[in-house]
Amino acid sequence: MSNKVKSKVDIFSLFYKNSLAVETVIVLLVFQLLTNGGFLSFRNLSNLLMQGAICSIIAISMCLIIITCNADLSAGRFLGMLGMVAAILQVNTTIPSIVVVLIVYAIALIAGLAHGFLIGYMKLPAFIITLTTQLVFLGINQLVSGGKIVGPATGIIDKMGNGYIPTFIGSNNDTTLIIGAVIIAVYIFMIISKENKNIKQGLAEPRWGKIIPKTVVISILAAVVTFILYMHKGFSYAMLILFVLTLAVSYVSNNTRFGRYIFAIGGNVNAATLSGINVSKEILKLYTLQAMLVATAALVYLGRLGSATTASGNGYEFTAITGCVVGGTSITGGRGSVVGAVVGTMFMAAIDNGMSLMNVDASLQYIVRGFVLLLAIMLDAYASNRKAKTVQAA
Amino acid sequence: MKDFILQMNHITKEFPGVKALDDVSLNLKRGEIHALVGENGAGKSTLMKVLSGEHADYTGELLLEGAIKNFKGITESEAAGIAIIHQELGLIENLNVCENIFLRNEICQNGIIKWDEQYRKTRKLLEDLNLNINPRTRVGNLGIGQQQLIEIAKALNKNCKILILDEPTAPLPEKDSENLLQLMRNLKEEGMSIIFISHKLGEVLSVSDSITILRDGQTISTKAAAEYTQDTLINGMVGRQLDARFEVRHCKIGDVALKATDWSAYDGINDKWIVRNANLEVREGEIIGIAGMIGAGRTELAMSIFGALEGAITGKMEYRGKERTHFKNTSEAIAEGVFYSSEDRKKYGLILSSDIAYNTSLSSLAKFINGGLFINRDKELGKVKEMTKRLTVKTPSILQQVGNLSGGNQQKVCLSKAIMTEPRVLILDEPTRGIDIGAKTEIYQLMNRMAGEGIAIIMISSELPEILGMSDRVYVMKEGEISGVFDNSNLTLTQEEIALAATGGVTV
Repeated sequence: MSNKVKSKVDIFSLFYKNSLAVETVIVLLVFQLLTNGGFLSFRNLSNLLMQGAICSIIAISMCLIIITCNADLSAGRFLGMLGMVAAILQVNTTIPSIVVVLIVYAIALIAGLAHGFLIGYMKLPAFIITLTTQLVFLGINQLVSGGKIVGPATGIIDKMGNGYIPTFIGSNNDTTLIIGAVIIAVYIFMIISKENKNIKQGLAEPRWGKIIPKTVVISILAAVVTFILYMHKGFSYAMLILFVLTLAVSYVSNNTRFGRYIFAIGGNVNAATLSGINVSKEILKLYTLQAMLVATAALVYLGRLGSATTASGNGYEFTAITGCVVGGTSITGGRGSVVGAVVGTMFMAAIDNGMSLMNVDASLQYIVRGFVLLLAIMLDAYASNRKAKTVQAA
Repeated sequence: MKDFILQMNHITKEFPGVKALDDVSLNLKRGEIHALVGENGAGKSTLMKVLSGEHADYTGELLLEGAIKNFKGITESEAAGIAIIHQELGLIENLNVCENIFLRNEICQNGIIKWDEQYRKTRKLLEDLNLNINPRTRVGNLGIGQQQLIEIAKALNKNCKILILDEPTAPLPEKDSENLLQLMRNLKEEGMSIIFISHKLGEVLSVSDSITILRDGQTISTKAAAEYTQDTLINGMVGRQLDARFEVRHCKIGDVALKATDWSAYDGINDKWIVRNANLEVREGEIIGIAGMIGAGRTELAMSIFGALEGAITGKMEYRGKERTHFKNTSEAIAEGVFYSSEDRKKYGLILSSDIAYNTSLSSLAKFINGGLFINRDKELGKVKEMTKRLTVKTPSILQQVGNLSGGNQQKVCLSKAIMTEPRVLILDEPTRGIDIGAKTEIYQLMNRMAGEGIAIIMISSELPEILGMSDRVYVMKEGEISGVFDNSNLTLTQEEIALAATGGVTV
């Protein structure tokens, strides 16, 4: 049994743990050079965050699904269908937009329960089931729209995608600065109090040398993002929705029974069952949560683009899944984090955005995205193999 | 004096931060059975991995028939005539006996397998081993004892000179173990050199010619088997005198905690009744033992009571004085106070990639819920720490990954998890399988303490001394039925009586 801390520096694991940060810096610099500075403009970065927000919302729960060794390939088409239903209701009826929102969530609830029932209780493979249902969603989208573009979105839905937080004084985005400052202050306070508690309870050696630099870097990043948003229109509601949902689901995944059980199911489903976990029920809950988040993403999408088409949402599930894996969610299940998945998806959005700015051919963009996912999966597999080996050796 | 076929001298192997082997020597004579004993983590497996080439970076010398070797992988060591049969069998369940034996060793002509010759050879091998098995039988349909013999046949087919058996009898019931030991003796007569790793000291003493004891990565002694006794072996392994392993309990036996009547369970996938008309009861403060061969339906009986078995269940259940239907699922059973701890802790007990705290509290999270939704982590960790201390889990921190712990400590985590649910009926399936004597004794003491607190304990075990030493009453199962119930309150039951019931009369 090895109780002693390993003294040798493990270069690969150091790289792997920080790979997202390293890649982000490289990608940002490359795009900055190739787009002659267009990439790192306030306007584009603010834009990029908005674009990334939709897929990131999907990634929040997609990552939990991947952690349980399942998948949801229907998310993109499901988003498209819900967006289309909302658009048709807004354009063709006089139903108030808040009711439209409720109808969308109601449809999502039904679809989520259906997924959960088929995958959780009937124990059918998620991969095939969602591959099947995405076809159904696409069909419904085409059927109700007749293949037409439907818009514009109005009311609360428009706000969800296009609105920005109002300011106190004039056009100065003061609220953005206040929110940003509060977030950073709360973050630093939480980190310090958590670490203090760990030390007090004797759970960990003090490791301020590691934590302080990390906290500083993240705080600076948050400050930079806040500043970018401040310079360009301020905090949008979409960003706020993403931020709140990320924190909420992240907290739930670590501090509720549901969250614990998700990781247990992914880590070892047999042991989870014998530990008294009702696996079917947890999977049902999870797919319901996923449907709710996709519905939220659909409303943000509709609000942002103003209209829905039959192509809406195509490939979003791919971006979200790639983002999860890039962000450290293990495809073999049991490991991952919500925050990592969101950051990873933003990274994917940055690649998309950069390539679009450079006018890269669409076919080439597909190839690049495919290879990014391949690379991320290879890294993940390599890392878990290494881990398995060290565990055996010890 | 016979010559040495294998000499491993001054072997040292280090992992980052830990010296797994420290100047270990092992010398194997031609045609002898050499036993390697030691507690878990003593370095037995690491030494064998050095020999098989899985660990190629060690210091020291390895001589095979006098020539220095440094194997770089299993392929090389196999080619040199060394075959290891691991505790976890390496057979492919969906292939048949012949296909398994010739896997990676197929007899081919122009790339086409010559099946006739392979089947002929397989039949010959099986005959030599006195196995009455059709070479076309799917390996998954064989019992674990027979699978082990197939593994040996596979090794023999490769013309190995040294056969290494790593805990071969751990999962076997007594009778299969005896068969295996006899086979080892026969192989020895034919000139095979065998390294035998086992926790079962009785077997070690009866079958081996010489014994090497390892402790904490060091060689303690190598002597002829006749010079050891069970006590000196245990002394060498743990470095201290062990008191009587089983203590007499003096706890009050109370009301019936759980009673199953005409209990049957049906396996829909394989279309057969795996438990038939079982009648069983356990009282508060009582430990009952369930003995029987592997595959007799003991685990299935336990799982069906625990609500973990998919498939139809018939029969009546009485739980704490009230008649009720069987538990629909495991969460219902745990909420009512029944817990089952599996025989296979890695596959069915633990989330290996998670930490001790996570695993320990997994079944009792409801106790730490704050305000209806969120887990109170302080309360949870406090309770986990208390349990870890009570069960003396050896770890630097409760945030240590469970996969890094030794077998005994992993089992203690499983037990902490069980106890934390505050069970009234606790089913322990092979609670001491594959763990060292020190940890075993601690687990026996723990079981005694729990019985003293009024918990009803059902212990499934293949180790008869354990059954006899721990149980107030013993149920014996055979082919899905309970074939015998014995009173053991005076500790007067004998192994022969149990073996008779388990085999249905054909006993030694």
